[in-house]
Amino acid sequence: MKLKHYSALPGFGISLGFTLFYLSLIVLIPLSTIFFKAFGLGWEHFWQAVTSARTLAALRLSFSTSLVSALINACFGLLVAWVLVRYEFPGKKLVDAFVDFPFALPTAVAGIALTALYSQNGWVGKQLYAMGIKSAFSPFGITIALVFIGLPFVVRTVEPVLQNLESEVEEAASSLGANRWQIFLKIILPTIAPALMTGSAMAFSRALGEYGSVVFIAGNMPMKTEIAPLLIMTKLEQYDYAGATAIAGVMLIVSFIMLLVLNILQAWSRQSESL
Amino acid sequence: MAGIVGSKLGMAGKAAHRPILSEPRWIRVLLTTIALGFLAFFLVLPIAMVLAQALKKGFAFYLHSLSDPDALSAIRLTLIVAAVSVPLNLLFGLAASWSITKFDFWGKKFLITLIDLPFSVSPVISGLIFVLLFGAQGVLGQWLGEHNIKIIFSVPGIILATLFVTFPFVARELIPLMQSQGNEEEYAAVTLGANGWQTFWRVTLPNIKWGLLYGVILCNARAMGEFGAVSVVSGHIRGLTNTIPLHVEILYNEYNFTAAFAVASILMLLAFVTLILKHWVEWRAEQEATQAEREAGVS
Amino acid sequence: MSIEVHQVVKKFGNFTALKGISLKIETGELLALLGPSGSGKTTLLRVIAGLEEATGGQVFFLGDDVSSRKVQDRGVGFVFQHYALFRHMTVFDNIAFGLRVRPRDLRPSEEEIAEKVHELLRLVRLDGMATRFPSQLSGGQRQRVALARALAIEPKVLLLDEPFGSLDSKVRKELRQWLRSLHDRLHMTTIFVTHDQEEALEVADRVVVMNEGRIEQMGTPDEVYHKPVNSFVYNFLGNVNLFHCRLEGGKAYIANTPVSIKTGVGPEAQKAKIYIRPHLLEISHEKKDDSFKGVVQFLNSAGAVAKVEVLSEWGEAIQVEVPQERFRILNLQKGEEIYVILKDAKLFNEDYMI
Repeated sequence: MKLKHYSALPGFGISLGFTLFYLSLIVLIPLSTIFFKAFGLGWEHFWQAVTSARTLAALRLSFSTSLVSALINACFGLLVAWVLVRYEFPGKKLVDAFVDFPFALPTAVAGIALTALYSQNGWVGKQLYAMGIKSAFSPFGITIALVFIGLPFVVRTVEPVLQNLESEVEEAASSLGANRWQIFLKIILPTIAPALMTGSAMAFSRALGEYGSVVFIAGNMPMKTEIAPLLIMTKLEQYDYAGATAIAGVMLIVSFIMLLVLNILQAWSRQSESL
Repeated sequence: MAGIVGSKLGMAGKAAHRPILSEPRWIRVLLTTIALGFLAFFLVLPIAMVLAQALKKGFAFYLHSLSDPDALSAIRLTLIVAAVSVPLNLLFGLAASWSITKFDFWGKKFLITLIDLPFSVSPVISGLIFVLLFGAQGVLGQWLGEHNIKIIFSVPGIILATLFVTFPFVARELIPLMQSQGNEEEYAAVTLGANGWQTFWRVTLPNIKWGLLYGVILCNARAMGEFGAVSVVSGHIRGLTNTIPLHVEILYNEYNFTAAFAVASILMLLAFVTLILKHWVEWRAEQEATQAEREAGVS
Repeated sequence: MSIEVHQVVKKFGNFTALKGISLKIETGELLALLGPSGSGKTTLLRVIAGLEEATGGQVFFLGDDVSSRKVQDRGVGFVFQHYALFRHMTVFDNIAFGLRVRPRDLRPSEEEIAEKVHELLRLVRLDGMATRFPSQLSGGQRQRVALARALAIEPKVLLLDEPFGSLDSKVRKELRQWLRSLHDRLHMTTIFVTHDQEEALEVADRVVVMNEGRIEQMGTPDEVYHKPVNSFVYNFLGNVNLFHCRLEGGKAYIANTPVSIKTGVGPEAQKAKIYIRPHLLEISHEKKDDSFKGVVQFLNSAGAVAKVEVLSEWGEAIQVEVPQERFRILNLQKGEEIYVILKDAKLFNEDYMI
């Protein structure tokens, strides 16, 4: 890669060289094996593996639960961000620091803890089962787990934008006669919309590929509560590399699309923030 | 940068929002209660559950689970994996951020996106790719078999998978930080006769120390806690290729729930320590920023 | 150390910042690069320093071609516009930096370094600030630390990029005089970049006026101010009134009023422009030679001179500066009809200038 123009600072060659070398070694070459292997299958095989009933069920499940959990996190994440930025209450700093807990907690721990909570004998599960909701080994349980791990994304993306909102705009609207709800709907919400969407997209993206937190609570019944990542795992254990690769290929393509979407959303965010 | 939210280091020094207008009191109380309730439900309950389950059979059993030889070797392996992965990704983070923020070249934005890739890949796939590459049926499988080198189902495989999933952490902390700090000080250093290493070591490094530490803390937390990717490459060989998260899974699948939660509590402790350290670094960075702002008011 | 810049061209992609600059700077000279933003003055400074690489042309230090030499090896002391102090180092460590990064065999001992640093702190009048951090200093103090830091490596030439740009005017004036006296003491070849013409004229031995990548004029402050070679230089170095006039039969006519400017032009009518500074116009109640009629619009007597705006008989607003004593004698009223006398006008037209 050539420098666009001369720099008096040293170290370009060595730093970029190492960067590209390490990137290729650890990320690019390994990732490319999926595509080579998937292409090696031939279109027929690939399509077969991807459109089998079991695969489609798994993909559908992963998508729907991720979407629902992202929406839940969008609503409550916004609420939590609002309360943390605008209101005062004892222990606020502690709560704020704590929002990152799902990030920091290893997924396996989250997985077994949530399963214990929502299983039939669990503290919460007991109540839910009594109400007729099967909270473990069901899409409901999966969604709950995904809400847990996606929680910080929306909060952390929306918080800075809320923080930087100028009170003058709200004051102006107020002086023109708008009430709080109108101000929220017409002025605040549009301003934080890019950040909100970015955070939700991140939560969605993470939820799609999530394994550890979900695999315990899901029960992993094929066609019913088998998420796509687990299906890949199962196929691997059966040495069905072709099948595993095909599904992985589809998920990777979706991941890259999400990455693109996120980049666009973030560019939109930056643009609207600088206005 | 897609994938994970940025740190609060970028917000250091910004004044707290002081809204003059607000909702009526009862709404504020209601919303606060709902928000806190939501957080308590989703965050506090799992923590309580882990502790309750871990100590179900008493404290003696708890300690026994932790000092079990398989548990100990799992702890050892986790520490080794972290001790190798974190420094390597730290080195990468420094090299990448230096090349990206100090120079202008074609494809820079693309490079940044590539660095973010591992964040958007599912952990299972992160492990799968190494199986496809180094596994017995994999691209290099035959060659490795001939030379009797074991990567998959052995420690090197675990390290590689961990390197992949923790790849971006340090870089994505440093890049925005170094971009916002600019290059003026480095230019000043070279006019004064400093070479590359001197400039980096004496001028750049002190300025980025908090961002660096922050990235390392996050990188380490993920390296120790990674489950999905490591699960694929490990082979789950007790005493040999199990990290702490995998050991938890094994215990759980054997219905040895109390022991599983006992070992899991170590990871939960790690999560708390990570949160505390993270918060401390943010606090220190904020302190430095506001102090500089206050003193700049002298001019 | 003398510096020669020979036909230097600098392009940034499609944009040409320097279009063939040639100049020679004598040893010990204090030279100002003056011009508006985008004139290329900072680019030229950075090319001399080695922070930018010229697209074409050469730079010579004392006869040696340094065009391909790295900035570390050029021995220049550079003071950046925003000081670029090392924020995590004390004032002492900032100044000592250049000495500490020298290769082992050329590096002075810590005692020698300490001595040098304190000597420099005394020179820039910041003794006692050695243990402070840049964030604890005022703008003017930071500027002096940046200067001391650059001087510590005993450079052959001192280069300053808009050194007083971000300071308020009082501090700026003080530091200007201080820089001048420092130069008189050290006699180091110094080049500084500024967009402030007052600063350039007050401080420098010679001024280089630049515009759009080219040198418009080089000369002493006196020369560029009183003998500008073109309208850009005249316009840039001070306030100016502009009249459009007609040249005919050896005289210039502004709206049919003959003005006594020796045009040396033939009898054919031509269009030209007259530039005249506000203080070279005089106001009188009586008609005199080389004057025109006008009506007083605005009066402002708060300042070293009084400023009067006059609406000329052809409808243009003219700025006149009147010394305070004369202003008191005149006792002007708004709306009063007066005569404006041209004392020393400069005439420029496309083909030649007087």
